Amino acid sequence: MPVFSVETPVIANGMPVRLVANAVSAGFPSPAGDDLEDEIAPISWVVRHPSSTFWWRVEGDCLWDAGIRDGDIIAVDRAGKRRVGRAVLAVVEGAVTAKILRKRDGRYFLAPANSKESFPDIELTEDSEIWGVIAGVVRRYDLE
Amino acid sequence: MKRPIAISDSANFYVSAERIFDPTLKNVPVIVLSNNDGCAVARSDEAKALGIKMGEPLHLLQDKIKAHGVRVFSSNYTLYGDISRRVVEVYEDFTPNVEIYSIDECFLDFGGFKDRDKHARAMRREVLRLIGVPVRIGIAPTKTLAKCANDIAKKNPIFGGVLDVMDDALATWLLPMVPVGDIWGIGCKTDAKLQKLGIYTAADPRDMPTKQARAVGSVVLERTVLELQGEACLAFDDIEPQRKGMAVTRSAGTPMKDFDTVFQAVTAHATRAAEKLRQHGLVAGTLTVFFHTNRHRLDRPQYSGSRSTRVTPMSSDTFDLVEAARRCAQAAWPKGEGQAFGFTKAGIMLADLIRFEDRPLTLFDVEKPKSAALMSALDQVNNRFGMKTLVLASEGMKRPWQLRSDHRSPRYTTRLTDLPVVR
Repeated sequence: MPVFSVETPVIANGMPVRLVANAVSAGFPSPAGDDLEDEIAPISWVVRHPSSTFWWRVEGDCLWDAGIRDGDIIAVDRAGKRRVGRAVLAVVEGAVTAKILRKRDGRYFLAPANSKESFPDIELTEDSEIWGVIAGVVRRYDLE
Repeated sequence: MKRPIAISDSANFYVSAERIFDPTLKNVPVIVLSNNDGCAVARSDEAKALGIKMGEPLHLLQDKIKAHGVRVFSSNYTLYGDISRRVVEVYEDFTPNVEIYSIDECFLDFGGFKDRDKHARAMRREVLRLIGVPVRIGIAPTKTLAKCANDIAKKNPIFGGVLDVMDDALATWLLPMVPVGDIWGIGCKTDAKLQKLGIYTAADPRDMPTKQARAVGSVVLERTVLELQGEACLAFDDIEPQRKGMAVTRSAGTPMKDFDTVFQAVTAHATRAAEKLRQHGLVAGTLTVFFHTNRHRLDRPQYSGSRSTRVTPMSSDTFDLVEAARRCAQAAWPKGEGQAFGFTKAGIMLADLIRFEDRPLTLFDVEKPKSAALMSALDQVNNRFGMKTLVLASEGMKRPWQLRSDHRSPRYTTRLTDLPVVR
């Protein structure tokens, strides 16, 4: 408990004086006291638009070369710009698929990114729809 | 100058939410069932076209479901709540004032925008693009008229989902399209009375004297008539009104036969209510417990019990509320042996809610210095590891009273184990 509680701001030269917010310990003052920052939050670095970002789980390795593997969790942003070369989620004939958006001879394709296995290219038709753009990937490894 | 109020809502919101993650639901009949899988509470346009009515019981729909391949879902409120929250976030980029009216409807302050129609269309496009939910928007000088405009926009694709009736002449032309029974705040009894008076559409009450309106349908109808005439009686609230009471009540999946089972359900409801109180920084002064048998099964013994108690000191502590609920439940439990009741519904209600800071202090307050810390730990554990990670043992482990939801879709957006899968 403070000896005197300060109810109103202390004004000096017309400006409020900032009071020290840190608890003062009677012993040696913490050298880190003034340098505290927020925790690192990589998820918020991946998620640029929280309201339009949805998480999906990946099954299969058709985007292996793009660094996305079976079991990964991906953030998919519906607000992401659909650009050639980007990894996207697309709805084709009632199924959702993760592919790279490609363009050849003026036509758009959904192409896999896996040099070890072969997956067919799918041409983007009027009936297919791009659901969102992959914004990032989260993977974890065994510890035990 | 009249202030424009917009209302934005999604037709078939629950179905739209289900369709975001499951593209096979596109263009096929879909229905979502009420709590406990009783009846249809949301229908896709295709399901409506099959003649499936709002509130129609599931067991009467079996033939249609089989014949037309209707896709059936239990309510997934976790999913709908999350999608609703995201939609509101998009609205907030378009207007400084959003008043959430229900899970799928918001009133929006559209004052001060130059081209309202363009603004509304941009908002509609963004909700569809960012979240995947189609919404319709009605704009008018009063809430009741905005609801009418929204209704017309929903039923007539020609408007492209947006209808602005700030212009009087346009309102005069459009309001005859809205049947009087569809007007916001007019129930079927008032509807019948008005029909007798020759009032059939939203255009007619505009010429109705307010005195007559009051005579036919009380103050509520008078207010509705004024609102239809363009006089705003229902204010646009930018501050959420203080909650006066809340209820947590559920139907049970299987009838509850003994006290322990009913009390397990009551404990769970009281726990949930306490959590909600703490979220809003409130404490409760009165708690009511009620439970009753199925009122539609007159062939079975009927019983309905209810008791209220004061909560002193006023509290949001889970243990305090569960203890109060136990006293009530015991007092309300049927006396005498030999009668076997099957309780299908149990709930608790909290009233007399005030902000924690404003609670009256009692003279002989029992000091429970650890209670706040315990409750905050409880909430934190359940927030981080999922609801019901830590529960009171009196809630039970098997939870036979839990809702039936045989067809619920995954909680796509709120559970790691339920994420949608892409191949």
